[in-house]
Amino acid sequence: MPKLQYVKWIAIIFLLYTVIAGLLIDVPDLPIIRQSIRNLFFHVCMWFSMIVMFGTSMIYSIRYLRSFSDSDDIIASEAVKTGILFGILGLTTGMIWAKNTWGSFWTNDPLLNGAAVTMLVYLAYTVLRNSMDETSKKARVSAVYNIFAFVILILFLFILPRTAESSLHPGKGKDAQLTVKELDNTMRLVFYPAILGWISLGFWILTLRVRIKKTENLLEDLSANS
Amino acid sequence: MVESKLFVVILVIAVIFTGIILQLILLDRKLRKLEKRTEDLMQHQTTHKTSNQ
Repeated sequence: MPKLQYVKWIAIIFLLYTVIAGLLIDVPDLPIIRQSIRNLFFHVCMWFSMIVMFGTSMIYSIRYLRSFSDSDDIIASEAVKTGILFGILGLTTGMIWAKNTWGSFWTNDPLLNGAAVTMLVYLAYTVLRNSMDETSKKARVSAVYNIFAFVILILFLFILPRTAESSLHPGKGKDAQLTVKELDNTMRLVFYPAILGWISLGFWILTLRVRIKKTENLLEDLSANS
Repeated sequence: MVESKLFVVILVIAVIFTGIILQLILLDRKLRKLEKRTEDLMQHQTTHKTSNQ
């Protein structure tokens, strides 16, 4: 994995901008949603970050199946754990926003249920990994499962919500209330940097996790040899 | 603030902040374990060397 030394600075600068500009810029005052439209820079970006993390994980799982290098396996599994963090944050923030917009924490919406299924599929990944002792077997089985998990993600977050008859959630369903095309131009000025910032934060956390894991493995080898 | 629903945004930012802090605490713990193992390994090696002499 590239060292990504500059990624933390991108994360710091863009997230600082996101929090300040995200709270200060003028936003269109839509009924019911009102000022909470600003959550676009926070809640929505959690999901972008999660999808990028799981995507990275899938790419490294494919790489692992071709190379069988431990490093690829470590990156794939740590990326899943980082993605789960963003997924949990996306669910919690989404529930808060839903409670204050739709009146309940959870609605029986195709996108919401899809997100829940996706999270369960990835939680199952960590359970599957922990259930095996033998390192190479663990890596191989979880890499295959991981590719399957990303297909499930695409299906439940992109395909099924789009074919649904109706959806409360903006941007999805046939009667979408708000799509990126309709997005206010001033909001784009914060939305795009926000996406970049949160994704960079994901990669920063990922590199930290990978470095810790690799050091752990190195120490294990050292103590086994001494 | 309740009328304008700005508090929802503040609440969401607070939740995300908490999540990142929890992640930091987790990584901090992992690092501490690694530091301890490194120290143990160093000690083990020094005792090994002295017993060899």
